[in-house]
Amino acid sequence: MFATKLKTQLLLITVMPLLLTIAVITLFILFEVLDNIESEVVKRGESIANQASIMSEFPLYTGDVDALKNVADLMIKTHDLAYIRFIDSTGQLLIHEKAFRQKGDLREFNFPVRTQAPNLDDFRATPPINTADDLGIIEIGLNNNSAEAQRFQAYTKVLGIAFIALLLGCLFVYLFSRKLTNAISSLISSAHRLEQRDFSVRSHENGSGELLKFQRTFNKMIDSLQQNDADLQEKVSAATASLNYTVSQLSEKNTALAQQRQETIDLERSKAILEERERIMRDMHDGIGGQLVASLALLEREQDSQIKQNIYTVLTECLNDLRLIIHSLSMQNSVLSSLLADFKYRTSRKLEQLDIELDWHVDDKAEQLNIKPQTGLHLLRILQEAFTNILKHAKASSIEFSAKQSPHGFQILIQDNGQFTPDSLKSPGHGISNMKTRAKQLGGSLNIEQPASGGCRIILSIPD
Amino acid sequence: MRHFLALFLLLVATLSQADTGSVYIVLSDNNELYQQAAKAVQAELKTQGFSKPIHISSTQSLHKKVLHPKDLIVPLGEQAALNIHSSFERNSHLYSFIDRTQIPPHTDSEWAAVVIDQPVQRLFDLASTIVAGRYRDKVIVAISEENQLLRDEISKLNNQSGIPFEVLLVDENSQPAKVIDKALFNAGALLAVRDEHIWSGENAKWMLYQSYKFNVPVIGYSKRFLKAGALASVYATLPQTTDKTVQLIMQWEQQGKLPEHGIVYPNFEIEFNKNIARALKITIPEILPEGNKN
Repeated sequence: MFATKLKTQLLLITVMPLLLTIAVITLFILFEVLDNIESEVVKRGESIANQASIMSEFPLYTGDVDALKNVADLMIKTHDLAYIRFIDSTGQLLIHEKAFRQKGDLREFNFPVRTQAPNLDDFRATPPINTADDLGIIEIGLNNNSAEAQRFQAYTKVLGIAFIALLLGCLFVYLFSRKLTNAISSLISSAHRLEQRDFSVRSHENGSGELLKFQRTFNKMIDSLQQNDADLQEKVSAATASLNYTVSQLSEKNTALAQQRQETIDLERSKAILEERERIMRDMHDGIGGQLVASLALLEREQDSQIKQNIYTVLTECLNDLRLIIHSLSMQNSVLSSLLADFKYRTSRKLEQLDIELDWHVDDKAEQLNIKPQTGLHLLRILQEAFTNILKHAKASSIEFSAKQSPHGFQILIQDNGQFTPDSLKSPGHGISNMKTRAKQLGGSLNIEQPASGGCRIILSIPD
Repeated sequence: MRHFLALFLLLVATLSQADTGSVYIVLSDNNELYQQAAKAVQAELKTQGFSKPIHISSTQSLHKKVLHPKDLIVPLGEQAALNIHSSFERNSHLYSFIDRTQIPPHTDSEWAAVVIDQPVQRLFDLASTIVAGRYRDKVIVAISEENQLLRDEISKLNNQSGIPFEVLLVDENSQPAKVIDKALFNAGALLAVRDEHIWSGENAKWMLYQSYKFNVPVIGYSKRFLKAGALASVYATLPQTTDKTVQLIMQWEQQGKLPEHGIVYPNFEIEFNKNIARALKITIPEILPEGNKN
C-alpha cells in the first residue's frame, strides 16, 4: 500500500517484527517494573503500618492518646506520611495527624493492630487458644511522589532502552539488508530501463549467493533480449523495405491506372467532341456546302457578267473556306506535314492560274508533329491570310515556303518577291492583327519583315 | 455347699485385693500432657517397685467405680481435682500438676498437692542474686489486690540480703502495665508470680513489654516466660513434678498414708534467656540459690 519501495518493504518486514518484539518485551518489563514498584509501595506501606502498629500497640492498649500522638508525629516525620489515624477497637478515632503540607497523590493503607497474649503456663490442661485481639486500626496516607518518580524513571529507562534497541535494530537491519537491497534495487533499476527498451543496460553484479546468480542470469537474459531485438529490427527493416517497394509499385500502378483512366476519359471526351464535330461538319457540309454548290450551279446557268463572276468568286471562296473549316475539323490527330500538304494542294491551283512559282520545303520533322484540329485551323487561317495577301497585294512571281525544326519549336517561313512596304506595318489591317492573335493563341509568335532582296518575309514560330 | 463356699472365697479374695489400696491416676483431660504425666508416674512407680495396682482413668469412669477408702486418688490437673475431691472424701488425695490457687477447699480427707507454682521466695532469691551489686537493685512484684494468698506468702518472705522490695497492688479495674510503669523506673527486677489478673493474657504481654522498655529483667515462674521475654525462669519440669508425685506415692505405700500434707513443691530448674541477658546487659550469676541452673 504505502510501502511500494523495496527498501521500505524490507525495512517493514524486518523492523515490524522487531518493533513488535521490542514492544512486547518493553511492555512486559514495564509491567514487571511497575508491579515491582507497586509491590514496593505496598510493602513500604505495610511495613510502615506494621511499624506504627508495633509502636502503638501499648498506647492503643492503654488508650494513651498522648503516646499515640507522639507515635503519629514520629511516623509522619520519619516516613513522610501525609496523615496517620489511630482508631480504637470500638471505632472511635483517637488520633488524626496530618503532615504540614500534602504532596500530590496518596496511597492509603490501613492495618489492624492486634495483640496476642503469650501462653505462660507450662502445664495448663487446656491451653488457651492463641487468638489475637483487635486493639484498633491504623490508617496511613503515604505520599505517592516517590513511587511516581520511580514510575517516571522506569518509564524513561525502559522506553529509552527500547528506543535504543529499536534504533540499533534498525541500524543493523539497514546495514545487513543494504547489500541485499542494493542488489535488488540494481535489478529493479535495470528492469525499469529494460522496460523502456534500453537493451544496453546491465545490472550491477553486486549481490551475493543466489542473488548474484540471479543478477547474472538477468544480464544474460538482457543479452538474449538485445540479440533478439536486433534480429527483430533487421527483419522489420527488411519487411518495411519490401512493403515500401510494394507500396511504390502499387503507387506507380495507381498512377498508371489513373493516367489510363484519364486517357480513357480524354478519349471518351475526344470521341464525343469528334462525334459532335462530325455532326457539325456533316451539317455544314450537307447544309451550307450543299447550298453553296447549288448556288454555284444556279449561277453557272446565268449569263456571264461581272456580277456573276464576282458572285461566283465569292461563293467559290466561301465554299473553299467552308471546305477549309470542314477539313480542319475533320483532322483527327493530323500531323503538320499532312496539314501543310493539303494546304499546298488547295493553293497550288490558284498559284498556277496566277503563274506564281512556289518553292515548297517541309522538314521531315513535320511528319512527327501532331496538330490538334483547333491548332490546325489557326495555322491554316494564318497561311491562308498570308497567301491571300501575296496573291492580292504583292504581285509576286515566286513564293518560298519552308517548315523546319528550330531550337524553340517549329518555324514556318513564307517569303515572296513581291511588293511590300514596311511602313504598312505601322497601321496594320485586320488581317495581320488576326494572324498575330492566332499565333499568340498557338503559343508562338509571328514576325513580318522585309528581306534585303526585297519582298516580304513572314516568320511563324510555334512550339512543338 | 461346695459351690457356695467357692463363691464366698472368690468374693473375699476380690474384696481383699481392693482393700490393699490401689492408686487411681485421674486425668483432667485426655490430652497429651496428662497422658504423658500419668504414664510417667505409672512407669516410675513400677520402676521403683510399687506393688499395688495403678489405674489411669478419667473422672467419669472413676465415678462408676467403687473405691476402697484406702485407695489413693491422684488427680492430675485442676479439673480432675475439682471433680474428685467432693465425691471421694474418704480417700486420700494427692493432687499433682495443679496451681496452688486451684486446690479445692479442704475437707476431712487427707490431701497433698504437688503444685506447679513456685514459691515467691525462690523467685525473690534469684532476683536478689541478679540485682545484687547493681545500681538499680529494687525488686518489685505486682499482685492483685484481692490475692490474699500471695500477699500472705509475700509477707512471710525472708529478705536476709536487705534487697529493696516493693509490692505493687493492682485493683481489678487497673491495668497492671500502667500500674508498674512508675515503679519500673528504678527497679532492678520484676517478679512474675501466679496471679491470673496480672500475668495472663494481654496483661502479661504488656507487663513484659513495659519491663523490657525500662530495661528491667523479669523473673518468671514457668519455662514459657523465657520465650515471652523474661530474663530467667524458676520452674519445675514435668519429670521433677512427676518425681515428686512418685516419691509421695511410694511413701504413701510404705507408710500407709501421705507423708506430707498440704502444698508440696517439687524440685525446680533455673534457666536464663541469654539473649535477653545480653540485651539488658546483665551478667548471669555463677552461684544460684538452689536447684539447677541452665
